[in-house]
Amino acid sequence: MNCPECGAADSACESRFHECLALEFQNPGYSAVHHLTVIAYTLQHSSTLTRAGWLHQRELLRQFIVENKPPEFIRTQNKDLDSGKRTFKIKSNDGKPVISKTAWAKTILDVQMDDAGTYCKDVTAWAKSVLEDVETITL
Amino acid sequence: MKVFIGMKVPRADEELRLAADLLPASVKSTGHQPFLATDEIASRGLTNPKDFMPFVWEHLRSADLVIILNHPDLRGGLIEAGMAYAWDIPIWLCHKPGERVSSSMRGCTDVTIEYETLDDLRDKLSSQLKGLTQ
Repeated sequence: MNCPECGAADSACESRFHECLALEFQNPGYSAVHHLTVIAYTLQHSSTLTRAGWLHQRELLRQFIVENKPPEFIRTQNKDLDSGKRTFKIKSNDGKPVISKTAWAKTILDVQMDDAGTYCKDVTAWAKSVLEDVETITL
Repeated sequence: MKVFIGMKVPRADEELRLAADLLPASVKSTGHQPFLATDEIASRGLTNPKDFMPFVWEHLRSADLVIILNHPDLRGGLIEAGMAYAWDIPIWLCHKPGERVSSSMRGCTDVTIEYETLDDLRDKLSSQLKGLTQ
């Protein structure tokens, strides 16, 4: 059965995601794109997020990809904006997807893990493609 | 409040072992629920990152606060901080004066606790934790 959220064959996305986290944990060369791996994956699996959380993550991905801002810069910038007192929840536990999209140009299964260079290039390409896909979604 | 604690595996390092006892105890004494990742992983016999990263992901996702004890050789801390970042979970970083802390880690941190000794760490951490609503 394909993943009901990202459409990956045999729902292999979750185990691939865990493999990615393991690689990123073990090897600094792979961990350079950790922020993209996590955000791209959660945007495609929106059942873990609230609506506001999904929109927040989409904006984060846009800042990573389009504005090329590093995570630490954005966190500092957001701290200045809201002093850490965010009024909405990011995580959802109701299991209901925020978006109904199940067809994506790329999924985590398009990421090759052979070496750090290829891995970082593929994760970046996947994240860019996710951003292109989600930017057309109106909630 | 569930508090996820990330630190280097103590192994034969006596100070780290003491810290591994002190951090959860400090969290518990302020009425919060500690989750010491290294001990939880070890108690389940999860030695391969492919096995323990899903476990870490799930527990981190359900945490309300992440405390990272910095160490020059800490590998997992940045990954855990990255996950917490995605979920917008507050990150507190504890480190000794002069200890090398990556700029990424520093930038993602909400609260920095600089400590001289473990007693100092316990006092400062308890004081911060008491300021949290449960």
